[in-house]
Amino acid sequence: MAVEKMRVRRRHPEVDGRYRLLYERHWRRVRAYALRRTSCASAADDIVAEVFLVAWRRIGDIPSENELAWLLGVARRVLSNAARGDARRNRLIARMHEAAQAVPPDHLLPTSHTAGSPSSEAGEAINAALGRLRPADAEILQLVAWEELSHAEIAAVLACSTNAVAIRLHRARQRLEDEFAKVWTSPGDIASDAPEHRRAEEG
Amino acid sequence: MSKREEDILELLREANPVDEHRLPLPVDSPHAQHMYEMITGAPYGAGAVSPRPGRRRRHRIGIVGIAAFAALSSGVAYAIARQGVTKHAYVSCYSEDSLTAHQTLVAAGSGGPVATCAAAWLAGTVGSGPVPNLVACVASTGIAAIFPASPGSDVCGDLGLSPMQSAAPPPTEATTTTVGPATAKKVSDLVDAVDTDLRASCLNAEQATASVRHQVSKVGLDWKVVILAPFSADHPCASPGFDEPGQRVTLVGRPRWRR
Repeated sequence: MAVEKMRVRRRHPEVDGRYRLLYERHWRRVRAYALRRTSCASAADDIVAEVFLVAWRRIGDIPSENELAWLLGVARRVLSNAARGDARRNRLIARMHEAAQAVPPDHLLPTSHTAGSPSSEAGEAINAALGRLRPADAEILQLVAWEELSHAEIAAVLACSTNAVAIRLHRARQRLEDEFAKVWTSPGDIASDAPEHRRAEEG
Repeated sequence: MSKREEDILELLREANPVDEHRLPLPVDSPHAQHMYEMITGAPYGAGAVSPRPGRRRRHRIGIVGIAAFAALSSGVAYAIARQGVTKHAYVSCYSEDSLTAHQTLVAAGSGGPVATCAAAWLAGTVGSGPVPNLVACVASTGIAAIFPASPGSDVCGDLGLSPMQSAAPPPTEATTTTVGPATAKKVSDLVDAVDTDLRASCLNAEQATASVRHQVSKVGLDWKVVILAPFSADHPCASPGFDEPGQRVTLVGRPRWRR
């Protein structure tokens, strides 16, 4: 685990005090961000540890009015680096997984279906649609819907202007709608007991 | 923003896999405190430090405020945990200890959520290989979420979910004939009593075994006490698990809470 490898050094008490407050305020949100984007809890904790280690080293660079966006920007880069390192291994695992799934998952158990979210078929479809987007589109939508950041905060996370955020977000929403429409109306991807509003749309 | 755009974002919000308000704050998480200590080299319990006396009080109030908020949050989380599973028709079986892992919804069987997912594992529909150790949590949607996890890990807490207080089967006709309300009450009492005892203080394996046996006898159940793995220096305190189908209380080591 990354936290085990940390090199400790003591600093001025006031710096320690600011770091402590930063940690108290944002540890949970950074952890939630990492949990939403990693394949397991231990990987998420590695990301969180790395983010706060960077914050410890660069506490003087963190803008006090935009701490969370700064931390999430670091988390995003840490995740990106980790993903590059894992890409080769994941491709191999994906190929093995595909080979093992010669039979479609929906047919494995008559009373079961695979899902991205347990809440509803719509939740399943929205996750599937999200998975079909380009990573940049998915990321900006997640920053709005899951992290609940403002445009200005997203701009800080993505290192771009707020205008660029607005444009990218608009396009990403449209692409998500398009993909959602494909998934939602495709009978092979949806369980047979579709909710009422879907039947209304079809009617 | 158009109505359609708002709808699609609302759907996405509902699909948020992690409700951060159900994750612990650092003041309530030994793991977060350990991480803090590894990074800074300072004990977490020392609190925020200011060289200026005038600021000390303000910081102390801040920390007290955080602690009070954490206590309130953990109270809310406890209340949520007590609500338990509200949707009994399906069980959600995860292939890994992650909310983003491959997931299979399986119609609930009469043996309870863990047994249902174990059967799905055996059928090869959740993952390959032997059936792993399975842990039952309650998803934010009220459905039972079953994860593979190594003994001793707090997978529910790590994922921001509530642990299932007992692996009680769903209230179907089949189960009401095998588990009557009297037994369910005994199990519930056992869970409450053991949970209270083992949370209140750090009991080693021997002390915890004696305590649990006493509580099992007190509520009138014929359950065994099983230690799943030797306790280590890092995990010296007993943490209980309740395996209703197997009629046993399992004990694993957990770290010492630091407040």
